[in-house]
Amino acid sequence: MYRILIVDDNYENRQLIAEILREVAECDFAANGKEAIDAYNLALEKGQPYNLLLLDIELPEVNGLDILDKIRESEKSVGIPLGEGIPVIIVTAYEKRFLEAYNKGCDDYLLKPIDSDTLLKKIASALEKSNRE
Amino acid sequence: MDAPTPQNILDVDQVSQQLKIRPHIYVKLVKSFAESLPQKLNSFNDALMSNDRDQMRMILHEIKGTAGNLRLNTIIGPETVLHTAVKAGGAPDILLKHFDILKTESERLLQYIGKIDMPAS
Repeated sequence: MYRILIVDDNYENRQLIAEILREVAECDFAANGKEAIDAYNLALEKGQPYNLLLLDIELPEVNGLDILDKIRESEKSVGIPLGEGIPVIIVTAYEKRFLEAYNKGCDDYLLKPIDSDTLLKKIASALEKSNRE
Repeated sequence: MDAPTPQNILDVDQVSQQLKIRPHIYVKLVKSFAESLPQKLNSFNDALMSNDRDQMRMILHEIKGTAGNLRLNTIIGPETVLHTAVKAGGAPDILLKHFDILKTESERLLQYIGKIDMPAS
């Protein structure tokens, strides 16, 4: 089973994604930027890093793109080049934010409303790519 | 107009199949969302009274996201109309009219989901 961190401020959305992924991954949850960074760091400290991050952009206080920035900066500081860090899939209702997300180092995006087949395919593809590297 | 039927509000089997999730989880999530709606709509009403368009859009965006993910068409429809009116700078009386429709649909959903038999897990 893979380990995935779902970052979304909405309870129903987090649970829905986890339920769709129930046969693929064990999911942890974060409802805001602080929880996300804390969970990410704690998993690293425990030696059980997440295999993938699903990140909502529209979050209170620290938005998803700022979280992505922090994670990529932290990876860079330990010598992990862009493109070789944890796969991050951005989840958003706004197509126009994709370019910004790609520039900050996301691997893929998913449009809301979530389509289960698309979600599963994108996750499988990101994990496969990550396993090859 | 025909009286609303439960099937018009929600087809649990069809949507849970479409979403590839278990029906009892789907019902649990819809119930949770429906129960959160009155508070969200109260906040929207406050924003409407103070003509705070940013706050209105933020609340509607949140409703839209979850209603969309859960395929709650009876909520998505009136939410979209209201959201469009807010974005277009619609007059308060127009917004109020659309808001009342969304509120009515939210109450219908809450009533329906409260009565539904929980599918076996």
